[in-house]
Amino acid sequence: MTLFPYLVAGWILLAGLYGVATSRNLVHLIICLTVAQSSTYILLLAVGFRRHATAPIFGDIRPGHRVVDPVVHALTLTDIVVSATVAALLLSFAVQAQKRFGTIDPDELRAMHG
Amino acid sequence: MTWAAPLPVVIPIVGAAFLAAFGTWLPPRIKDVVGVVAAATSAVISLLLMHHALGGYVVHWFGDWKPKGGVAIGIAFAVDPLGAGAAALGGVLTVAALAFSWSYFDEARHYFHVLVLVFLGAMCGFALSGDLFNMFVFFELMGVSAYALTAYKSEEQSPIQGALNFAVTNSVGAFLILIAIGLLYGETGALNLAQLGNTLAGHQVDGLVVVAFTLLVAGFLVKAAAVPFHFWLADAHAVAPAPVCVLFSGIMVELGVLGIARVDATVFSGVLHADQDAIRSVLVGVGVATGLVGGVMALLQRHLKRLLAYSTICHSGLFLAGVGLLDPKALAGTASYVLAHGLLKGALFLAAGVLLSELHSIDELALRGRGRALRATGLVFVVAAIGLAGPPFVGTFLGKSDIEEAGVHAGLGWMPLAFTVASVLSTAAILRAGGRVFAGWGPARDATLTPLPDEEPAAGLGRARRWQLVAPAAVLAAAGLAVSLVPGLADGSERAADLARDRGAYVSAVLESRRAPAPPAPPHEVTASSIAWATAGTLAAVALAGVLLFARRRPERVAARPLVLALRAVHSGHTGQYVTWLVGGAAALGALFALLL
Repeated sequence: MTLFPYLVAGWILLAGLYGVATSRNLVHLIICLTVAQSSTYILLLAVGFRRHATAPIFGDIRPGHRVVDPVVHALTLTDIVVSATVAALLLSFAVQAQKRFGTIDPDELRAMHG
Repeated sequence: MTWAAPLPVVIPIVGAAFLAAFGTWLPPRIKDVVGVVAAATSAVISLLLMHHALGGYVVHWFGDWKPKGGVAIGIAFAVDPLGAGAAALGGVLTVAALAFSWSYFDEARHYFHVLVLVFLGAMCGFALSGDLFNMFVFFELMGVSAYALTAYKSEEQSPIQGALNFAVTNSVGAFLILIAIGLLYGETGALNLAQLGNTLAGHQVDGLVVVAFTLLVAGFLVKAAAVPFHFWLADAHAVAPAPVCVLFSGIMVELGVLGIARVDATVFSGVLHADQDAIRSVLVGVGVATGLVGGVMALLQRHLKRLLAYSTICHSGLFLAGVGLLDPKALAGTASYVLAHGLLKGALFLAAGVLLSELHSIDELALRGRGRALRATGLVFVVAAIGLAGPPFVGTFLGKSDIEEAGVHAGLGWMPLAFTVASVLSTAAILRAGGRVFAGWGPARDATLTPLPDEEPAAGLGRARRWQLVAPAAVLAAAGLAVSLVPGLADGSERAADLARDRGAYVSAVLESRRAPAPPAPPHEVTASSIAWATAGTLAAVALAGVLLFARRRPERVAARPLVLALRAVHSGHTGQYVTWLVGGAAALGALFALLL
């Protein structure tokens, strides 16, 4: 097991979170959030990876052939679905923000504080 | 009764699907009835499950994929009395929320019912699941429906900002949980909680265990609104419709605390057996800090729902401290505390909703004296606030005194004082608001209170018959006040907590299908000192509210205090800053655990 994919996942997570924390545009912020979430795909796939193994689709491979862990693929798929749902909902909020506030800069949203 | 375990989830989801498919063609009253019936059925089944689970965990394997040779292959619901109790509380609060919204909205668009039912199903699933990844999925489903409900009035400005802050911070929290799940799966090859705990129990405490534990706890703390992960909560509650706030405050936030209790007891209590003292210090410390910050912030609010939201943060901190003691008696106390708080806070939010509906404002100062005509609402509001303070044998008393005694027993002699101070602060804020709105007491200006944005008051509320709005609030308040007197609650919650803290019983029930009933609890006693603390706390809350209303103060000077300025400045309403706090908080938590474990 190599450390490399875990470092990549950590880097993508931090890059995404940095983007969320500093963003001046809601659309950019939401995309940064999905970038941060994509780090979890890499992490999950890395966890189930096996060298010289093929995809766990048993239609056309010989029994006993080495395959990667199918569970993490199921988890990743679920994760992608969740991510798409959240991103779609958040983007609809961004559209509403443009309509109501006339801006999508989070620094300009000042309806609430304290 | 194992076949019934998924029903508290299935029934609301099926109800939601039905309304989503056919809601457009149904008359509004039918939609209301379908919603209430689905939620009520879910609550009743949860109650039956809770009763049944006192005789041992109720384990349901989906598709009948049972464990083979002690190895979990399928996905399970593992129902314990605490989880089922949380699901039942969620169902009861949903019934109250839907009954209230019956006449609260002009016409509730049918997706309101759909979202509320999905939200309920997700909360039940989270509380009943015995599988870590399923907990994550239900956590996210609960999140998505909650974000949409927060932005329900999306024609206005602040709901958009509140929903954005809520969604972004909670999504980041969910990422942390998912990363922890990935790491744990890579280490153990298991997702079932019992299997995870069993495999980890043989491990050394290494970096991976500490990182996974930190990320799971941090992720759940976001939902539990612990300092410094709490910022989203006040924004979301300020803008969400009042009946939705009932669910947010009454059960959703508490599920974050339940998540921590669950993963600590089932997954980590084996491998981190020697480190429970360190975990206890951190969780209790964070909890008490949250309680105090929430209490102080509540005092600074004039937006009534935001005030109640900070009160929820205050109480959620105390729940965390109760769970964090890692002691069955404290856990039992937390359970009855959560029950009383959920009902009473629900009544308070519904009373705030009545003010919005009748007087079209939610601003304490603008409403000064205008609530005089709403006598029943005022009574509910004040009585529920007193119940939250927990005078002897009323409201939150039972739970709070159990936690305090467990704390003293664990060598934390300051715990009753900390709990009393936190709950005095938040209760005094509610009582002050009640006195100003319903009796017209106190000055009409107060510079200590955070100004409100210039925004039109909420439109689109129905012309309700007032009793239809007040009745659900009154029922919740009455039930909440009576919690400490329910016979068998102290005994039952103690047995439930014993079962929940016992990893051996969990493992043998889930992996070996051997049910062991909850052990009998020792007789419950109420000590003189807890009665004294409760009396003092209630009197102090009333006295503080009186001081805030009647004493001649210099509000400008209070508002200029560095602490007040700093607290206001960090609660900025800015998503990016909230996420920065979240990441910093998670890093600090990790550093603490790395040093201590």
